[in-house]
Amino acid sequence: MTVSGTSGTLFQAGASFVHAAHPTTKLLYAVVTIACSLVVTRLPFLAALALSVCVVLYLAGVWRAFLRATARYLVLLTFFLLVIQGLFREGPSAVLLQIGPASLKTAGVLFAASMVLRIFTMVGAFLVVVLTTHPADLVQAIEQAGASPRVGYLLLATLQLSPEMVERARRIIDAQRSRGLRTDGSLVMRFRGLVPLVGPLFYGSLMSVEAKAMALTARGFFTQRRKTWVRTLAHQPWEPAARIALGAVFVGVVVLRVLGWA
Amino acid sequence: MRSFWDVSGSFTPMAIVLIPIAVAINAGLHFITVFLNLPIYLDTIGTILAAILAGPWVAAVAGILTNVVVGLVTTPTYIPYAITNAAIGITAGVLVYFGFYRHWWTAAIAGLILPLVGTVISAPITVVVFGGATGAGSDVVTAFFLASGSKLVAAVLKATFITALADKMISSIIAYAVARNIPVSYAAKFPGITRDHQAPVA
Repeated sequence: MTVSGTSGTLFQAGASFVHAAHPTTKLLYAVVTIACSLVVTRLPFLAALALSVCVVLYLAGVWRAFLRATARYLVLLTFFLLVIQGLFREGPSAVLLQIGPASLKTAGVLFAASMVLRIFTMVGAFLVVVLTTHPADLVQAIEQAGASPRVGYLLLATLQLSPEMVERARRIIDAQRSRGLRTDGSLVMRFRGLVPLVGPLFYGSLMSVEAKAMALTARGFFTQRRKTWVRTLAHQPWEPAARIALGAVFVGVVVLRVLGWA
Repeated sequence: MRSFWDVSGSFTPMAIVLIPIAVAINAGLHFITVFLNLPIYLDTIGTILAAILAGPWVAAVAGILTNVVVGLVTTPTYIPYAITNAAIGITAGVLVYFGFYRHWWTAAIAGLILPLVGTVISAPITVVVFGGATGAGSDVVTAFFLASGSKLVAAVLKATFITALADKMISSIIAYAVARNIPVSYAAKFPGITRDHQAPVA
């Protein structure tokens, strides 16, 4: 697992209007965009959606981070979808390209293209939220919207602990190697290396469960009373309008689909 | 002693704290297998351990969070497969309930059942969400073998499946071995476990 910044997620600090927006507005944007990408079926509309996501990523100043996180995956996905759908899609279709015995079919390529645009839109809209929102803000917004604090704890604690545990694994490996553990050699040798590495990782981390549970209980985490927040998450003046616009876009897209135009 | 199947009763303070640690164990073990250059992943041991200690629902949440966190930190496309990991957590819980984690060899059998469930749940997700391609290495295999139809196909597909089987079997046995060495006084603090469903404690 790679870790960027201090937050443990892909989050990139910034000063754009997207960064400043309240997390719930951004979540609404992601949900509406993903829903739209599932509602529309025609290629031009899917392309327009994908383009709109690119614009938001650019305006938020996170498009580099977006490409770093997804480029390799998106290129691979495009290639494999083209191959799998282009060459093996069932049903009669015009042939776009003949390479030896393999024929690339138009219907398959079009299907692959709409699939790629749809996935790009979904991943992009999701990453707009992840890249521009600090995980603590996201969790606070989710809790203030009515989710249990336990959900928030689970998400934040997991995000923090996973890199910590990788670090612990690294320390255990160093410690055991300094005691003479071989971590190279034949497959059997390497499998035997698992035992002295895995044990300390388990028992060390299981020991910490009880201490953490007591610490949380002592701080009133499991109380049924209402809790207050140290920080307040601000709404920008333009956000109510943006939310209405997002709702309108979704209704519009559904109407277009029902009419058979999208 | 609470019922193994009780959903809300499963999430005691100890269980809530266990979940992030189980997910982190998955991450830590995966790091170790990468470091040792082993052809297995071991990234479900934390989930199985959560099932042994705290039942199927806690394990399901640990499974979901494993994918959500990988999704937030590196690869967003892992998120739909959270359903698979939830199913693996619940299945592990059911297997614990039926005493599969009481002997090392029954744990190995449990390790055979888990990848079957995983495959059955993952395949439709791959087809519905990603149109048959995931952008992972196994796509090359799929594409190549759809085309060639040679005997090699079966061989490589078999190899892929055997790796998955071996991974879950080894994971299961390690989870059994760890649970076996957990002191009674510690395990008793978790909900949903009765002694006769758990590994015999030394």
